[in-house]
Amino acid sequence: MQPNILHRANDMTPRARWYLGIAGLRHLLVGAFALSMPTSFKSTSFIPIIEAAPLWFWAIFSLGSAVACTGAAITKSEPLARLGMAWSAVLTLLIGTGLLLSVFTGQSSSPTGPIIWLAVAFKDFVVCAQPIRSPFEGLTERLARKSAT
Amino acid sequence: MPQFDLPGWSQFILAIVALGGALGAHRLNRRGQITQTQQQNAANELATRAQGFEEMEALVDRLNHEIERIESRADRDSQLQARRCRTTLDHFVMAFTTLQGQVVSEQARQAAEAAQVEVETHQAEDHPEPGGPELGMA
Repeated sequence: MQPNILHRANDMTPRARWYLGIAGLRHLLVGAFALSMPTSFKSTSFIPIIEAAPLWFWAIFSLGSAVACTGAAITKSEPLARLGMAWSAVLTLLIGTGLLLSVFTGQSSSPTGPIIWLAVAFKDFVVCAQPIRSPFEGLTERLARKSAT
Repeated sequence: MPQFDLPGWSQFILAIVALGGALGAHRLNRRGQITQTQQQNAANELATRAQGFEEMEALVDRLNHEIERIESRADRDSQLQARRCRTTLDHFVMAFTTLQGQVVSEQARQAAEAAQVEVETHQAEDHPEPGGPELGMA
């Protein structure tokens, strides 16, 4: 008889859920600000991004990513998590690249923006390449609960 | 810092980056899924081995109880028999414990095989009768 402790569908790791939740919140805030307060994006470093597509497009793009990431963190759905992470990685990469372009066009006052956004984008890509679920998660939780009591 | 004039080019550049990024994310996602499947298979394999260990521990327990039962008899022959059984079982447990610690090592495999031969020899010499106690049925 096979033990069923590792054979049932495994839970999403808390790390993955936290990461998805934080990414979702990041995109929710950026999207909500872009949609409700477009005038706050007045820095010239945003010019290449806004030239490429209107701000409302970026806002909806960002809110879509927020829905996918947050939804995956809540429902523990792996397909939604993979979609959300890919969406988040591409969106963050685009914003980082747009800000990087502004550095080369002289429209940016500091290169720290693209450095941080691109670093976050690569972090998202790294998470894409990782397992979202851990086969040992259920077992670890059960053993931790047993040793705590 | 060199400066470039990129009117209209940002759309093109970002479209290329979006395409490359989406493709990269898709590939990385697939890699993540493959790693996850590998981990799942490895975990299932380990779980199966652990199950084997649990069954073996239960068997050793049962044999220990059986030996204790025989030892408690007043019959001297039975006590001698029980002592021999215990020695064999102790050697087996030692090999089994080593095996638990070194699941994949060649040394542990050889030790387990030697213990198995010892158990079989012991069974053939001390329990030759067909209706005698069998491993796991003691």
